Amino acid sequence: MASGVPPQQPASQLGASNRKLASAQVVQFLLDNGLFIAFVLEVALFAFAAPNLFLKSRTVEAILRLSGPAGIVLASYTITLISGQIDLSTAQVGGMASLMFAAVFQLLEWPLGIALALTVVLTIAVGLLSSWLIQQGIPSFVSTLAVGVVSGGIGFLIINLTNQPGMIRLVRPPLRDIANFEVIGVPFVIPLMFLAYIVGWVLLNHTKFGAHIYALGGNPSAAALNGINAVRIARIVLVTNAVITGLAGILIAGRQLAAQPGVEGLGQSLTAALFAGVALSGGSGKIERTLIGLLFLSTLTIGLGILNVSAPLRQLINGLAFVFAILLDSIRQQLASR
Amino acid sequence: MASDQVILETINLDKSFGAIHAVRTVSWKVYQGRVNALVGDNGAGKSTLIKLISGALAPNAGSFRVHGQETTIGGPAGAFNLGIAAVYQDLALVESRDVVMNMFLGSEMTRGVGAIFLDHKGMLRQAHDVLNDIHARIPNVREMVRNLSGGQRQAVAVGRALIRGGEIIIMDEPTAALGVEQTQEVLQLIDTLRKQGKTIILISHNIQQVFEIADYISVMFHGELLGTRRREEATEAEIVAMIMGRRAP
Amino acid sequence: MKRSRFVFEICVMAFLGLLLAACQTQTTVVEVTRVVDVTPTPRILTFHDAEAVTSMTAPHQCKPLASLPTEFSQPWRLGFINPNLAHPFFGEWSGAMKDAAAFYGVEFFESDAAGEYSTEPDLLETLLLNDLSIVGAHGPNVYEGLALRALDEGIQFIGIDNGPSEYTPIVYGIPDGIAGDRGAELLIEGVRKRQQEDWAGRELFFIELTHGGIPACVTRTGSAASTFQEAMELDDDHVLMADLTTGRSAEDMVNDTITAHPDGVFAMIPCWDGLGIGPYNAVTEAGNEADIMLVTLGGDEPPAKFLKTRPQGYYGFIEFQPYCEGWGWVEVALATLEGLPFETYQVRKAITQETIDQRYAELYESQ
Repeated sequence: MASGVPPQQPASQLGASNRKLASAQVVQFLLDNGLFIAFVLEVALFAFAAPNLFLKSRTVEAILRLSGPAGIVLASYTITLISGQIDLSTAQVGGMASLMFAAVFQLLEWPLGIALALTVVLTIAVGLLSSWLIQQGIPSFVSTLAVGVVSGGIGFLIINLTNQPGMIRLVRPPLRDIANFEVIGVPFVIPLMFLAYIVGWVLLNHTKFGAHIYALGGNPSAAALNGINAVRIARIVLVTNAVITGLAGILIAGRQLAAQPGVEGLGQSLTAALFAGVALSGGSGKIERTLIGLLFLSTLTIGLGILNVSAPLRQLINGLAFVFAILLDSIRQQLASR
Repeated sequence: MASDQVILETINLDKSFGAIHAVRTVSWKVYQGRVNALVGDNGAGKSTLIKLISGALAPNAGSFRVHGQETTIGGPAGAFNLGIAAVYQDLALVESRDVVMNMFLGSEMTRGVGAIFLDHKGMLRQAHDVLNDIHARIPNVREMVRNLSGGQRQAVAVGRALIRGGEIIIMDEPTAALGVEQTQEVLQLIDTLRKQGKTIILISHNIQQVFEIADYISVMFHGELLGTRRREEATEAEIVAMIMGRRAP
Repeated sequence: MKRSRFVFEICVMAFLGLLLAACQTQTTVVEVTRVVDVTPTPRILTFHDAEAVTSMTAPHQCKPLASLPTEFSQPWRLGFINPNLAHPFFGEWSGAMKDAAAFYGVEFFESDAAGEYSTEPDLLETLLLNDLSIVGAHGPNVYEGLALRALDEGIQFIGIDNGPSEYTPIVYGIPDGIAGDRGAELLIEGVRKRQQEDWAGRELFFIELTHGGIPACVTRTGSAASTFQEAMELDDDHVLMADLTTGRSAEDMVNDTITAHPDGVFAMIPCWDGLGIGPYNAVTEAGNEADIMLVTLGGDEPPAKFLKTRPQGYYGFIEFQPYCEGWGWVEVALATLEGLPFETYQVRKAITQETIDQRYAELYESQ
């Protein structure tokens, strides 16, 4: 049993343990606020390195545009992680959903609503498969990895059955207009992303369901002993994540005007979430921070692009960011279990 | 003491796990407003018995009588409804959540339509009240449980049992992992609960402690209930002998 | 806990402050450029001459695709998303585009997708921050989205090997049909020579090595096949196809075909160099190299190196001249911006075993 600092200690140890406590507080403070500090430093650094390019409202819009669909997925992904599930199928589920949608909407020329409905049904099925596997006692990262492979396969099958060259073009109106629809002068995905975070924040902090998600991720057996239906919550969370991932896949395809088997950019979710302090083991993390984590990574992408950093170096930096994020998670874990 | 009323009774309760016969036709009386200690060696069947009472396990045979009414438990939720709340040995706390959310874990207060939105203020108030009632020393109810001491954790878990409307509170080895000071704190907590009229089922294998706090002492051996003694009528030697398997005359 | 909230608020305020400052600086800049936009001044134009371009682009000796003025109506800013700078062919594009931009005196901005086409929409966002006048990319699956996004920003998109589509009316790149025809012409020359010698009286087959899933390939090798068939007067039974979409390796398909026609001789054109050289090596291993003749399409360093070793039956290749292709993109982009006419890119360079040594020295041993 982990236990905190006992209330009273012999006088001789008090000085040393106070110092230890102080340094632990510093580490904790950095873990809690490091992301914000890093983000401000990052913005300042790029602003200093390329003031004429970086300090522009267009740059800010580009950062938000970049964050859009991936950010919507990250919101539901954060909730999934907090509930103690790691979903590794997002890139393939997003791709499969966009292909399904494209096949029905573009190739069969069925109405938009039906194409969307069929895609949602398919993603629900995928989410149910993941949660069923988890219910059989298979860890979520293995279950969703397998489901990801299956989803990728379904995507390729759709391409094959429709005789398309590796992708399905997606140019039929009115999709084009929807994908580029603007609200208050910005592409609608940007306000939609912020809306996703507001909904996620309310869900996690102000609903009974959100409290159960935290409990399930933090201590599944305690949750079960207290009458929380773990199977039901895991199912709802995974199905929702699959559906939102699928819809984001369609948004991305709408932007590219082409649907493809794997959706790049959805894979960064894990890095952003870990950056923001969502524990890999579940139970803790704040959704508003993952938004900052995402903006941090998007700003990194745009900033490095502006500074014309070469592609291999960019990839290395992204890789290092991921390593750093895992390291942060591990430090947090160790600090929590002292 | 002759006026003590039985609040809960098990009748020929039986539970097996495959070849292991964990609880053998146990008929046990639990007295209202008293500390009912259940002692026995490791593997004697204490934990299985309380899991049957708290609804965490379903019996193979036998039944319950609560307040004189014959009934079934039907899962943890059913136990709550009957006023039975268990404080498990590991306390079933979520370390990464604060005191309030842990006390209301699984029975969160809500407001508005559909019981969807949490009533944070209401929960905060009630958590304060309950912790005050049991004289728990927890300075900040928004503190995460992982930062609490063992005694404070016990208080949180007991607080949860009370919030659930627990009249019969099962405490499984509440002092097993604690130091002297915190053990004392927990024993005081049990005493406070008793003074407030709660019924306590205390599982322990610390005989001295049981003699310090319990009103009734029941002994299990190899899945059977060997007998129940009033504390003032029993001796430590007698109880120890029963734990070793010597049936009382 | 209070302290962390405080820091959070400070961070948010700092970010918003930066945002606000950024918005204000930006508005003024835009207004200034707009004023310049609407007041064109009449100028006397002088043009670059074609020979200067040809000598400038030695050893590639590119033929300019447009006659461009020495002074442009605006300081144009070109942008291009290179699919993979580490790839020799695309690397050539990059160098050529930079050289051409310097030659014509315009700014050039580049982004590297490092082989991941699906990252191109994100890269475009960054590239667009440079106030580009026109942008291009090589993105087989994503170009329409890129083009639409560029149009959103009010600029045109000229892809390489993309289109045509609703948003990309200008098609630039290797004209696949012509490339195939040039390959067929070279192969016909080689086969006719052999028919005067050891192939006299032998039954001639044509093998089209292609990938049915890649439209460019279908056009390239299909066009080569029909040109060859017509010139050599072959019936349909003597024009065979090995298609990678069947899931079988090109090596197996070619070897099986040769085994099935023990008396035949075989002329082959693949969609790209490697797709021909692989089967060539397999046939050589089986000891049948005397019965085949190969012309490949592309002609960068690996096939050039191979051709230098004078393999029997590898007659030559059509060089796509990536350097000239990249150079030409800059010319087409500038001509489009200035509203001037331009020609389509042509592949003209046929290299055989007789000319390879000189060509190899020009391209790879000059420095």
